[in-house]
Amino acid sequence: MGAICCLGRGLGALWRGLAEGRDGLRPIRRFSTQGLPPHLAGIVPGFETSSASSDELCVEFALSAAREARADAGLDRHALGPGRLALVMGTSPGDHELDAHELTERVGALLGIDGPRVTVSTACSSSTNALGIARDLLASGVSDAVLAGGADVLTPLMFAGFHALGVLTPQKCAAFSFPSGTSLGEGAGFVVLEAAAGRRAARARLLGYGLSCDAFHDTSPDPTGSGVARALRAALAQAGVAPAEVGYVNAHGTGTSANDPAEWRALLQVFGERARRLPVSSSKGLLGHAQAAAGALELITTLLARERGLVPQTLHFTRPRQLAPDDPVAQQQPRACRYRFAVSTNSAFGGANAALVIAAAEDQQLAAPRLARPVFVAGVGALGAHGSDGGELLARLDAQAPLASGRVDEQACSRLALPADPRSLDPSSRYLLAAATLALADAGLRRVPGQLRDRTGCIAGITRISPQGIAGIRRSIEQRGMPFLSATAFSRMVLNAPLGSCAKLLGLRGPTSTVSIGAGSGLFAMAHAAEWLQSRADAELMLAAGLDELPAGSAHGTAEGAACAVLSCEAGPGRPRLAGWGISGPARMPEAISRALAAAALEASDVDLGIGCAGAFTLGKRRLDPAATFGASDGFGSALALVAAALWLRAGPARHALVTAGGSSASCALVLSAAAPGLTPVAAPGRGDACAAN
Amino acid sequence: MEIRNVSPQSEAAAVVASPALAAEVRRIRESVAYSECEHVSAVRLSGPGAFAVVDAVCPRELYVQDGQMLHTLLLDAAARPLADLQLCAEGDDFLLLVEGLDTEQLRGYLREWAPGAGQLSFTDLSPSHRHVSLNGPYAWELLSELLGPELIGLPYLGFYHGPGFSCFRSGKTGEYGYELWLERGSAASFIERLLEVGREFDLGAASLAALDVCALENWFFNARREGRAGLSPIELQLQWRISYQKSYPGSARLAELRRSGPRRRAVLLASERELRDGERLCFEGEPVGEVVRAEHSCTRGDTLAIALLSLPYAHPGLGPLDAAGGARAAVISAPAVNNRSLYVDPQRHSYRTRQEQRFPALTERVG
Amino acid sequence: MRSELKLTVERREQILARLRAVVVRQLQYRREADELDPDAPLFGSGFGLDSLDAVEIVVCLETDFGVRLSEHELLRGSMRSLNMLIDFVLSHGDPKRVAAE
Repeated sequence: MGAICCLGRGLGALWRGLAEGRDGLRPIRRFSTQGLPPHLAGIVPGFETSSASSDELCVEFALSAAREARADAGLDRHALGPGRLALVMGTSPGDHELDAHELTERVGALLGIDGPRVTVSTACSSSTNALGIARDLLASGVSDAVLAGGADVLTPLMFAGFHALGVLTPQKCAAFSFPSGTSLGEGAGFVVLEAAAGRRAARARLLGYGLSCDAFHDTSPDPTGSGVARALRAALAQAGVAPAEVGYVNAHGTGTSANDPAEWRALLQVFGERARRLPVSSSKGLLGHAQAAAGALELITTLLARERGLVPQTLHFTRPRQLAPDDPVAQQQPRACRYRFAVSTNSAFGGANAALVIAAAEDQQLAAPRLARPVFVAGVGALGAHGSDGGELLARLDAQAPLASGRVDEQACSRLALPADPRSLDPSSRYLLAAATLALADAGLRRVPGQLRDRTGCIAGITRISPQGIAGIRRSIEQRGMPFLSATAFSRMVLNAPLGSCAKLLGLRGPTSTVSIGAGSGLFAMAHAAEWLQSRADAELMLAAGLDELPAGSAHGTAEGAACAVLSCEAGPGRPRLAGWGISGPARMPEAISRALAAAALEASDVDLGIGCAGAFTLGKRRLDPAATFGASDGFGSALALVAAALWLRAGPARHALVTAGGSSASCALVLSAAAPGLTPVAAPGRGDACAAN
Repeated sequence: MEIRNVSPQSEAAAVVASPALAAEVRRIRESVAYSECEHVSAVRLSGPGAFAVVDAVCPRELYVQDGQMLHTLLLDAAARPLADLQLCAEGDDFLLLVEGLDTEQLRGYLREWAPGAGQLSFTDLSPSHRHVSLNGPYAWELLSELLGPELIGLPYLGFYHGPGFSCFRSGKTGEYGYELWLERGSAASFIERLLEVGREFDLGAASLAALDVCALENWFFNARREGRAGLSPIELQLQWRISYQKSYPGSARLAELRRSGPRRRAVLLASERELRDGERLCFEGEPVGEVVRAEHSCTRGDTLAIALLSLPYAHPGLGPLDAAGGARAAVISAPAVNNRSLYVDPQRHSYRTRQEQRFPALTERVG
Repeated sequence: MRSELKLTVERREQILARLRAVVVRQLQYRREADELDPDAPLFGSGFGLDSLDAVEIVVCLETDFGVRLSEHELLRGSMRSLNMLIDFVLSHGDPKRVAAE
């Protein structure tokens, strides 16, 4: 593992701060905090007055931590096959010049990672989520080793935004105590994850992870904590660990009056009365809230302590607030405490919760077996320049005649029966909601029934923040100044904001995530959702979508809109089966394709229809290119390709379709087979679930 | 602005509240009270055409998530409110909680205005359910001890079903309010448990009259009282409950009224003396309107009234208005009470520790 | 009506118009200004604004009307309706900014 944070560069600096109980929170000097009451923050030493751009800082932090992790794992010395090392990075797009996935790509290129480079951007739970995705890549056989973690930078916008929300503490973050409020931080944390068999001594085992969505509010968490509880239970279930066996909890513990009590309620729900005897600490008093890097840094803190038989302390705790853990490890130094299993939780704007379960490297715990459930496309929907009608979509593709404009047909949107006034949503949220509503309706569900909501998740492939949202916040800063920027506009400045809104309006409380691989993000989201549904038991339905919103006056040849598929394990008429999928590094499309075909037990010659960029692979009978008709797009186009394939197969007589998409981050291929009676589901290849962390 | 020159020896009687009513209102305002209700009709509409039927009569656009309620009205062709309606979306069904029309009248209304209403399944919930309303700044705490902590996350205008009950978070008093619809079979034992757990909360009963006083104090429209006065939603300041973007019974008339511009507005009056329904009001000798509905405000100790005034006079601070019976009144901003529930935070407070808190006074006013 | 009363009423109407503009423009509330009744509840019931909208309103009160944010203790009880906001602005706003258009 490797880290860089407000305590300094490297694991050693982090450990020394932890051991001494010395936090890294200092007055901010890198930018002006004029107009904002003085707040302390966890700025990385050596960069207190840096004039580098936030992009440069983010990449620098990520490289620092990733290189240390790589060296720590002895990865340089191993001969991994080409494309077998992946990168999963949690980060925030914030007000960077580059898109989030471009940051990841830069890091990946500089580290020589030629496997898939995946970006996760769910704000404060990004890196926790990233570790989980990394685990999935190993378990499904896509990679042999994954560099996973997160990196984030404290920018003036982040600072002003949190201030506008009224959640910054006037002193130092005192989780579960007084005064309430959080301190922001920055940095990066990375771990190297490898499959268990035959590696040098690992530092720990990542047994499982869980995700959930509060579906409650854009910035406030569900006060009952039931969202966090769901994520925790899902993680424990995957790890095969009972709540009674957990010995330590590293909480999200931001210190805010909304988060802390909700989180404690979650722990009481999951652990019952036993929660009162569990050490529960928050590392944010030490590191500040490192945002997208928080999860990874907090896990590393936990592991550094664990190796010395300790649990991290909660700094600055004086007396407990109402609804605080009974044992918040309120002391200056870490406490001696041995345990078998630990959990780490993080929560984010938009209600995205993530939890991890870890154990000692040599622990013999058997995680829950990977399932091999069949995955079907129960419904599809897309909103774009063609409107919202599937028939229209196919007709256009068939004609391969380019549309004059790639802009969404807003009239079509206004005719849909949505659960909220579409005019009150930003375009990204509006398109996503429309596509999801269409897909659910296509699946025969006007609404997700109450009892299914905890088990309905959504994964979205989104590459940029809504341009209208960015314009909105810039306008508010121009008109009123940074100290008075619009809190509402700020709440849209996370990549998972549209998905959070959508989940809230549709009541989707299952696993949620926003991912990006640049071009092909929509398809990647679908593959990820399919993987989840196939291998785990905690979801019944997964919505998967790709989204793009164009800024005003954009280049001809680009497209905007959203396309969504509802995935289910239940077969049915008109439900093509997601027979196989493959993910590989950039410029390695043939590998992704052969993996997808192998999973589907098909040959290339079986494919009737190819949609998307086929790369070096030549297909048989029919080929469609949505980009030629609708224009290029990163999230929307590739998801649209899958929607089109599903519709085509439904119409018949084509039996198998191959959809591909990819770019400079990763390549993704998916095989769809027409619904047919008597088709037996094919088990996906995988090497089991165990996975070692370094 | 305060009431000026109120003459103490006017002919209008000084108001004295019934102590029982005052106690009930105090309970609603300071702890929690329960009310057994019969004034609300509850109906479930199901069938494939339910959305279209509801859409045809609902004055608001049907943007409502599953498990959420939409608070609106049912209007007649002349755009006068017939009923207060809370529409609850549940899958493909709708639950209608209606005050002002009974079940048969509601059925007739739907049949008159929505083609396809006849094909729907229309289930009256009253025969099979009892309605208990729980209101007060600590109602959430009592209910969460009874029903479980999930209750705390129930947002305003959210609802859910549990074993033997349905819980709707709405309330028309300005305090935390929950409408419980209990299946008759288990209602008695539910209420027994409610009363038992409620002992810790000084739970007591509150009559419909007490609920009505609280509604007036908080400027909640009462379909059974001012709703009968034949006023339009524009006059009643209920435009938030209707939309000018769609068609429904009364929409044409409403658009007309909006175009021609309203000339009167219902406002909140306060007076130290009693006011009577229908009493005429003058300002500086000129008639400017009349009292629609007046009520003693137990919380404030004065009289509150809804009065229909000509627009130039319909502004807080305007006073004194002379009532025909001799009382003097002034227009005030709504609502008239600084509800305790604004300050009670389920994440921080508890009824048991309420003495340790210092909350602003219920009658504290700004300006 | 006496002229000073007329002035008071006019001033209230001006402030009402400015507050309505805040709701429509800053909060992007999907209604026309005249649909926003002065006594209708702002939060929960009525307009159904949420906590993020509340933050916006507080900021607008400061920037447009010179209400000092240290008065926030009073705000929760004052932000019940547009009429109450007008009362608050009249009693705690900076008179020059309140009078300006």
